[in-house]
Amino acid sequence: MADSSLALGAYAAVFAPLEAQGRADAVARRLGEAITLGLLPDGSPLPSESDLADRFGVATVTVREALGALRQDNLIRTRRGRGGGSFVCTPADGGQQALVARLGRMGLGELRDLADHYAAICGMSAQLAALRADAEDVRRLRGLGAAGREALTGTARWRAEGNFHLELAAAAQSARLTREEMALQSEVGMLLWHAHAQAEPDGQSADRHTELVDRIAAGDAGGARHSAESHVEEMFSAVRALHRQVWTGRLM
Amino acid sequence: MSTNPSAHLDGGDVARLVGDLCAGLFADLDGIAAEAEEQLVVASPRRSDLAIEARCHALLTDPARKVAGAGVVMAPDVLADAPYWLEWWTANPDAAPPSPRRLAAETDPRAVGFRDYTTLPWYAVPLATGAAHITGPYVDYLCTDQQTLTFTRPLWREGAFAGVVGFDLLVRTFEERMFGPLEQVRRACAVINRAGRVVTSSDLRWVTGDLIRGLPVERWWAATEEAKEQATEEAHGEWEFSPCPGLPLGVITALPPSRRGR
Repeated sequence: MADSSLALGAYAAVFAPLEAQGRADAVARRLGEAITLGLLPDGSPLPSESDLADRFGVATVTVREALGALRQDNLIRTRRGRGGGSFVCTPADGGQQALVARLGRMGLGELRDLADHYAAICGMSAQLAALRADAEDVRRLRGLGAAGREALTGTARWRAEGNFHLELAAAAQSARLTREEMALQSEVGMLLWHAHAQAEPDGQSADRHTELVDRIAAGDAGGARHSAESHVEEMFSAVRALHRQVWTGRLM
Repeated sequence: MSTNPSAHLDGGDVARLVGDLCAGLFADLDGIAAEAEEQLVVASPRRSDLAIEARCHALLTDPARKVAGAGVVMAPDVLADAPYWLEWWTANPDAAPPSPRRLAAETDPRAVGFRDYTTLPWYAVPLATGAAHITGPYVDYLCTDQQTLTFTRPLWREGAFAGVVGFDLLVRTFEERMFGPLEQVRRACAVINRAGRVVTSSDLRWVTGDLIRGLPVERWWAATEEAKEQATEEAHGEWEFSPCPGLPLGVITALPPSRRGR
């Protein structure tokens, strides 16, 4: 299950309609992160421009602009003629360059705000899951929580992390928390898990997940919340350390 | 069963009404299954042999049904040209008229975005039991993004399990349907699933999605199984349990004071 278990939902979320804000940028960012995260496999064809426009709910010209940006970042290549179209190019550095660029544009205050937002969503999900998860939910959470332990690559670890937190929000029986979790994952998932995967001691996340699931299984709502918040705090301290390295020029 | 709004109902009546509602929906599903099974009769069927879109659209746009998603999910290696395959359409049941859209789902098992659906309960239970199942209430983040009940039944080809056909009903839609009957029960009443999770309730202590704690839900279901399909009413303390015939759903009703404390 470890490596093959990214939710269908994450794929569907990649193509879900966007809000009317910075459309070309938003399309480029969402596709770019999906490519970097490996959600869209190397060499696979992207849907046609008109199909993408339809799925994102934007004009074809907007999609064309976004694809131009992705081409410049070497995240896609485009072939003309029969059998042509745009194809995914997974970056060889696992997205390190993209991550560094993103941290370079972000202030520490923004980063903390993001951490607070994510801790609120995860903490509340964990608290409610402790009250509402049934035996089947606990079993599924245990499986997903341990998946990261067997994951060999960074990408597989991020996916394990993403799946676990999505299932946690679903176990809270809250559609809103689940949607918020998905939105946050698509916005900052890469930032969070990439930085953390580089810094964490082996198996730390899986241990945290086990501890959290134990508390959920015991119906310990306060303990579950605390455990989820500490886990988010750990992930963000890894991002803060990386942010400092980027800003002091040691990683540019 | 007629429902005169001023009539008084008991838990058993509500259980039968839930049964009627689900039986109607499962009958629609049988129609989709029959069509798909006929299309799979050919030697080495391919994706192009499946043609259930029209029937799924009809179900999704039927204002009497108000379903939020419908389609087919194939068992691995049944189709010659796709090891895994699903065709699923979604629609907002409250739009007038609903406009179904094809769900974008990764079906290439080599792709990172692939999720092995054969482990998910709406697939795994019909596979294990060979019978229809209702999954939920659960937050369906793969499809509706809302609290959902997913109805599925097996698809058969040459006597073997070939996948499931199913549809999604938003829990909200179920709540709307059962609100009237629950109000006609003069005592606290809730529809629950096998895990003791509340589908809908007229008792303000419990809300859709909550787990009922402190009641012998497991024992009630075990007694129902022993009685095999026969609706048995079981009582415990202040509560009485009535299973919905043939469904993984049941109704709990507060006992009148004269019958409490057994």
